[in-house]
Amino acid sequence: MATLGSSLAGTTRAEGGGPPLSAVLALAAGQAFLLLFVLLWWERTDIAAPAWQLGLYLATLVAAFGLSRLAGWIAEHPAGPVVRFLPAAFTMILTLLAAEALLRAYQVPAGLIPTPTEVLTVLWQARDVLLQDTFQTFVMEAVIGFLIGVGVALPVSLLIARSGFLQRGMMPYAAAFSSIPIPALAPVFVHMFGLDWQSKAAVVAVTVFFPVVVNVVRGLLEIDPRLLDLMRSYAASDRQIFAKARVPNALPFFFNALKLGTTLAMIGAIVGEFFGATGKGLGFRIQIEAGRFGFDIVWAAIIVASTLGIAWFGLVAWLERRFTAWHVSLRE
Amino acid sequence: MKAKRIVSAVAATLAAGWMVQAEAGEELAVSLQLKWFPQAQFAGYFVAKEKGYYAEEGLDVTLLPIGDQSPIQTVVSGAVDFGTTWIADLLTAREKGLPVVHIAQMFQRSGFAMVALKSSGIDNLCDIKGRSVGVWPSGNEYPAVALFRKCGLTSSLDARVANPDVTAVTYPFDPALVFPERVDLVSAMIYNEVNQIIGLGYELDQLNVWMLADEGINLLEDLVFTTEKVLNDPDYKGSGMSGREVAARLLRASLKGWAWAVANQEEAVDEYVLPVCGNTCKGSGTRSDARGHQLWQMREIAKLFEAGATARGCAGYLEPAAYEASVQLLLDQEILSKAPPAATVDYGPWEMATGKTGADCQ
Repeated sequence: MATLGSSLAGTTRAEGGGPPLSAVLALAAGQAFLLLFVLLWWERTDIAAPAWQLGLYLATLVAAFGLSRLAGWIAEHPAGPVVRFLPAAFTMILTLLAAEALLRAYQVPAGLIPTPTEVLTVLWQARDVLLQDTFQTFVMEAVIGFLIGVGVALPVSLLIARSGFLQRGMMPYAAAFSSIPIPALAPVFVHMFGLDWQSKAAVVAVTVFFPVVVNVVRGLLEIDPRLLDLMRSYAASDRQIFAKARVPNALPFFFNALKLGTTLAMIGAIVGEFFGATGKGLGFRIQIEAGRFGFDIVWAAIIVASTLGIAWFGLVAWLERRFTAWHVSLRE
Repeated sequence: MKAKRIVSAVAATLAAGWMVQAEAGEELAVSLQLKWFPQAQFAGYFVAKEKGYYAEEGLDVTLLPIGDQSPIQTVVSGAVDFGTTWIADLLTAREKGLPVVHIAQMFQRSGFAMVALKSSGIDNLCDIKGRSVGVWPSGNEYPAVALFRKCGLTSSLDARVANPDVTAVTYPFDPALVFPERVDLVSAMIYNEVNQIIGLGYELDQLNVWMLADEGINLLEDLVFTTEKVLNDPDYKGSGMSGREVAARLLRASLKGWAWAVANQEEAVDEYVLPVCGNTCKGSGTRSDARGHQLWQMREIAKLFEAGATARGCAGYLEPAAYEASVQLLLDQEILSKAPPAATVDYGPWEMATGKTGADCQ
């Protein structure tokens, strides 16, 4: 820790001024104390004395104080992407270290809260099974359901946007359905489509469908009338107006719905598995292990699900930047 | 003379009523977490509550239902004082560091069965490699896990086995969801799901039903447990009673309720079970009538209650041999990694409640 802290101080000092030495020292010392305790208590099974516990709280506070000052300094100084990422990285390290140390100090049973190292160990040991679970939950259920939901929603939105009757007749229902809580749908679909991935993909498709319809229709219709006037003054055909004005106008709405959809899809797939599953899937794993107090595996499955969820969201956000770079919110 | 007698009788009744009321005001509120929704499986506790056996012990007991979750979670969190669960659930929780303590064994025999259609071709219970098996989550899967391990098979319940021999299918307890289309072998309690499967249109002569207890997997079921914190409290909730004393009173009244329920099965179902359960008491298909299903359940439950130590006048006693057998089985199947500490079982409350010791139960 100490070497990391000083090398950090060295690199940033070269860029001018250097970060406050007290902040770096506080962070390094606090984390070093926590790490020392974890190593000391690695094999021990007794509850740490109150003095140790107090020391751990103090060390966490000191390190957090140092970290906040360091983050403040980095925010005020020009820095590369790596340095700018440091406060977030150290926040994570500090949180995990403090959790590990405090859970060991109080000897919290693994059946209630496992320590971060226990979770990481089991994440590695169970990697084959978790990969299979991930394939079931993410690929077969979330992604397929998402693609079906979006694939059906797009033509439906175009139809609705073209028909005043459908707009008045269907949009209120679409808006209402888009707020259905997923856990209410899941048991129904498990009964209808069985226990395998199809029922979860159906849950995902339905939950993704309505937000996409609502957003895309709004995007196609809520267009600046002056833009339409301009297009008409250029003698643009309906088809040209659609392609060059309405679609670009709808794209930001569409991507918003997609980003929302990635989150809904992961929730739908995992929650759907709570109501029955064929022996695999992250939701199945979470449910079965929570019932057996195997919370190390539960947390490992949660880490996998979160990582995938974030990556998927990031992918859609990246596509959004590529396709709507012209939009006000993305211009720099 | 007669009038005088009536007056004094009325006065006595009033006085008694007043005293009961006065006592009622001082009743200690405790809660008991049942393992499932209300049904005849818990008849003894309903009888003890409604017939006033708990009140006689100075307790105001709330009986709580639970769905597919372990009762241990609500008891360990401190939200509930006592609970009923199965031995494997209790011992694995204990191994994971949760300070739960066994205080009474209500059912002396396991009611866990596995059911297959005869037409499935499964004639030997271990002959299930490559098959799908229906299991319940939330700590109810251990008997099935023990069976798989005993047969030398791996299953998809094990998070460390990538290509399992048996696919374990989880579902929300109703066998109609999976049997017989999606699983070849299905978990069934002899007092509940077996009758539901019959109700689906499969008569007993079309079914192979294996009682796991007969296959050497007699994992003890409904037991009463609490936490070390409750038992060791010298002044429980400011009542002036120790936690152990409260536990003894709860057991004394519960055992009295159970003795009455198994002796008066029809009345127990009609008067004490059916009034507290709605849809959860129903069977399936042709056997969906709640009363008929609960009478079947009460009959089967009575057999589980009256076996073992109960038959020797020691209802609620955890026979050390039966306990050791359950522990050994869980160790052999590697569901437990080491023998549970002695503090996992506390005979104190049961001895206090019944005035007996293990020596009286041989």
